[in-house]
Amino acid sequence: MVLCEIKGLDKRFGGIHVTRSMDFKIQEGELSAIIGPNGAGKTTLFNLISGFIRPDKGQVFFMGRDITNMTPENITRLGMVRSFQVSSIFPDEKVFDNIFLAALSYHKKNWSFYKTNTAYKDAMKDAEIILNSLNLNEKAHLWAYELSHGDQKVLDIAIALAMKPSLLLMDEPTSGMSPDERKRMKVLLKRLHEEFKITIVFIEHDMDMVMDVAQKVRVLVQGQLIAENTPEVIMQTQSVIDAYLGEDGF
Amino acid sequence: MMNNIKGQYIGWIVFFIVFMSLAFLNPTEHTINIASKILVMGLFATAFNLLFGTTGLLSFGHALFFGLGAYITGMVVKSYGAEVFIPMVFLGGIISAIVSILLGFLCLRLTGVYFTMLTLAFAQLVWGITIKWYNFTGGDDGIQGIERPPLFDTFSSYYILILIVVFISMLLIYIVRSSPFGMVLRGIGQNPKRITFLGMNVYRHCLFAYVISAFFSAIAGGLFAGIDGSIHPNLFFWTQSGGVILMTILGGLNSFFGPLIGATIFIILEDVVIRQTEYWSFVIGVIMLSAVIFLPKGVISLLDFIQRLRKT
Amino acid sequence: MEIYISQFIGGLSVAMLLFLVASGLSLIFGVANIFNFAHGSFYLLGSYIAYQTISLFPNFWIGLITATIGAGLIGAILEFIFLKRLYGRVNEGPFQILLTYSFILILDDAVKFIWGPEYKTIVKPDILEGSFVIGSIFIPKYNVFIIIVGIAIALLAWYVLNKTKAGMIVRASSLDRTMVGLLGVNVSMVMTAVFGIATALGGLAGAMAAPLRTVTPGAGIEVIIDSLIVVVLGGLGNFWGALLGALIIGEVNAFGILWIPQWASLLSFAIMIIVLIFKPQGLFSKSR
Repeated sequence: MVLCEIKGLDKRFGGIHVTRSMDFKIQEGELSAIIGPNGAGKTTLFNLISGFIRPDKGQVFFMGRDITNMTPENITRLGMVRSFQVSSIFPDEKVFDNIFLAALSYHKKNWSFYKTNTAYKDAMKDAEIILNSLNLNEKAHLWAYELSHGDQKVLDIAIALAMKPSLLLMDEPTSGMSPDERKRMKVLLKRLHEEFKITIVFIEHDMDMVMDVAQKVRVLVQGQLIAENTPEVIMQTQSVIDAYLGEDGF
Repeated sequence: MMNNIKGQYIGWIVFFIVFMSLAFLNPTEHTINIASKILVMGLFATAFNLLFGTTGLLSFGHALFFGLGAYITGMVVKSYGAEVFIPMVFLGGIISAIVSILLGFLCLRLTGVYFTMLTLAFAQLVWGITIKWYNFTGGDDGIQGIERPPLFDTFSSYYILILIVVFISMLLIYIVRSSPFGMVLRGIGQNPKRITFLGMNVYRHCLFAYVISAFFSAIAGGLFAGIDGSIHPNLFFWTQSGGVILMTILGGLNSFFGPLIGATIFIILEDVVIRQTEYWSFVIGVIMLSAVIFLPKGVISLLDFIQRLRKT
Repeated sequence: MEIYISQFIGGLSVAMLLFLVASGLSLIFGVANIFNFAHGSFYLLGSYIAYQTISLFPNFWIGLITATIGAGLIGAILEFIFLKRLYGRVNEGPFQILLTYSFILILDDAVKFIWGPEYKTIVKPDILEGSFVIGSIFIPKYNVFIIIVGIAIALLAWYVLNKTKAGMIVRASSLDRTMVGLLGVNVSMVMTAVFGIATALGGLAGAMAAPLRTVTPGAGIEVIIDSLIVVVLGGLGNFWGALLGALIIGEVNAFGILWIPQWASLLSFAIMIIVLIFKPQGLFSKSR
C-alpha cells in the first residue's frame, strides 16, 4: 500500500532549481534511504513533503489525502513526523519532559491550562514507555543540554516517537556521531522499523549505514531523482557512480 | 523535581505571610502605600513574565494593558461612583484581553526586535491619544480623586483587597505556567521549530499567552487606580513598560517569584533613592547595568548560590 | 503653494537629521546584530558636547567636530567595556535591549547632572544665517546645509561600504563573523569601530540639530523613538531603507503639522503600524 506519494514536485529558490519534477511513492512499511551529494536537495525535499516550504508545482499525498497546502502542524498530526540533522530538542527541559511535551501534544493536551501537567497520566505513561525502550530512563532527570551528542540525537527520535508516527522522516540520524554511536543508531533504526512498525525514510551520507539498514535507496542529484532501487543494485548503477565520482573529482 | 515543588510551596507561604503580617503590624500609611505598590507591580511583572519568561518574546508595550486597566477603572468610577470599582477592575481585564487579541494578531506575526518595537509603538500611540484626547481622558492632568470601593475604602482595608486579588491572580498564573500549555510556551522559547513539528501552532499559543498576560496586567492596573486615587497618562508611557521589564530581569526571569522579588527591590529602592537624590534614573541605570552584566539570572540566582554554598 | 515648498524643505532637513541617527542604528544592527536602544542618547551627547565646546571656543565648526568625535569615542568605549560581554549569551536580544536601556538612563541623567535641566541654545554660524530667496519662497540656509551634509554622508557611506577594503570587511562581518575572523581580521575591533562610527553619526546629528531645536535632557528619547520608527519602516539593517524611512517620517511630520497639528505627533506611529501590517519586515525587506 502506498503511504505517501510525491507527484511532479518542483521548487526553485531564486535562480536555483532545487527540486525538479520529482515523482516517487513511499510504500507502507518501507525502510529506505535517500542519498546524494551535498546540495542535491535532500533536506529541501523533506521540507517540501512535510509542509515546511511550499512547492512551486506538484502535489504530495499522505494516506490518500492531498497535503500539499497543509501546514506542518497539521501534517504532523496526520502521523508524518520528522527528526533533524542538528538534534532538535528542548535543551533547558529535563529529558523526561522533552518526551512528555511531545506526548502531551499527541494526546491533544497542549491547550490545557488549568491543571498541572503531572495530572495527564496517558501522556506520562507514553513518555515512560518511550524512555524505557530507548534506554534513556537513567538519564530521565538530566537536563537535555547535559546529554552527549549521540544521546541528544536519540532524544530527538524519542520526541518524534511520542507523536506515534506512521511515517518518520529522518535527516541524517548519524551525523556527527562516533563509530560506537553509529552502531547504536543502526540497531535503533532497525528496531523502530520492526518493533514499532514505523515506515522510515532517512537521509544518510554514511554508505555502510545505508547498505546495512536500508531496503531501498533513492539517489538525488541536483534536485533530480536519478535512481531508485535496492542498495546492491544502486551501488552498481553507472549514473550513481558518475554522480559521486563527479563530486569527488570536483 | 520534588525539590522544586517544595521550594515553590514555601515561596507561596512566605509571600502570603510577609504581606499579610504587614497589615497587622500597625503600619504607617506610607508603608502600606509602598507594600500596595509592590503587590500591584509584582502582579504586573508576573503577568508580563508569563510571555517573556517562557517564550522569550519581549513586549515593550505592556504598559498599554496596565494603563488600560487603570483608566477603565478610574474613568468609570469617577463617573458612576465607587460601587462599580471591583467589577470595573475585572471588566478592565476583559477589555484589555480583547484589545490584546487584536494587537497580538498584528504583533505576534513578527518576532525578535520587530515584535518588541511594534508593541512599543502601539503603547506609545495609546499614550499619545490619552494625552491629546483631553475631553475624554483628562489629558495630561490625569484623573484625581478616584474613590476606593465600599468596604475597602481605607488605605489598610484596600491593601487587604489588593493582597487577596493579587494572591489569587498570581496563583492562577502559576497554574497556567505549570500546565501543559505552560510547558508548550517554554518549548516555544527554546525551540519553536520543534513545536511546529510536534503538531502545535506557535503563533496561536503565543497569542493565548499574550491575552492572559494582558488580562492580568490590566487587573494590576485597575487595582493601581485605587492606591493613590490618581492616575496619569504616564501609566501608558514606555518607561512604565521599561520598569516592568527591569523588575523582571532584576528578580530573575526564569523563576516564578523572580518578578515579584524584582518589584519589591525596585519599589523600595525607588522610595529610598528618590528621597536622597533627584538622579533616580542614574541609580536605577547603574543597577540595571550591573544586573545584566553580573546577574543575568536575576537576584533569585543569589538564592541558588547560597544554597549551593550551604550544601558543599 | 509657497508654504508647501517651505514645509517640504523643512521636512527634508528633519529627514536628513533622522537619517544620520537612523543609519547609525541600522548599521549597528546590520553588522553587529545589536539593537542599540541608547542611540538617541548619543544624539543628546552630541548636542551637549557641541554646546560645551562652543561656550569654550566660540566656533560652531569646532563644536560639530568635537561632538562627532566625542559621541563616537564614548560609544566605542561603552561597546568595548559592556556590550562585548553579551555576545553569544542566551537571550542575547532582550539583554542587549536592557543594557542599552540602562545606557539611556545613565547618560540622560549624567547630562542633566553635568549641564543642568534647563534649556540650552546654540547659535548658527553667521554664514548660515538667513535664507535663500527664490521668488516668494524663503529657504533657510541652515536647512540647506543640513540637507547637503546628509546627502554627503549618505554618498560617503555608500562609497566606503561598497568600494573600500574596510567596507568589504564590515559587510563580510555582517554575514559571517567566524569566517572573517579566520581570515585574520580582528572582528571584535571591527564591531567596536562600527559602533563608534555609528554613534559618531548620532553625535553629529545632535550637534547639527541643536541650533534648530533647543537642547534639553529629554531629547534623546524623542529621537530614539523617531529613529526606531524610521529603521523599522525601512527594514532593520538596511542602509537605504533608513534613508527612505527618514524621508517618509520627515515629510509626514512636516505636513502633518500643517494639516492636523494636534495629532501630528501620532502620525509616525500610525504609519509604522500600517507598514508593519502589510510588510512585516519593512519596506526594503529582502530575505537574507
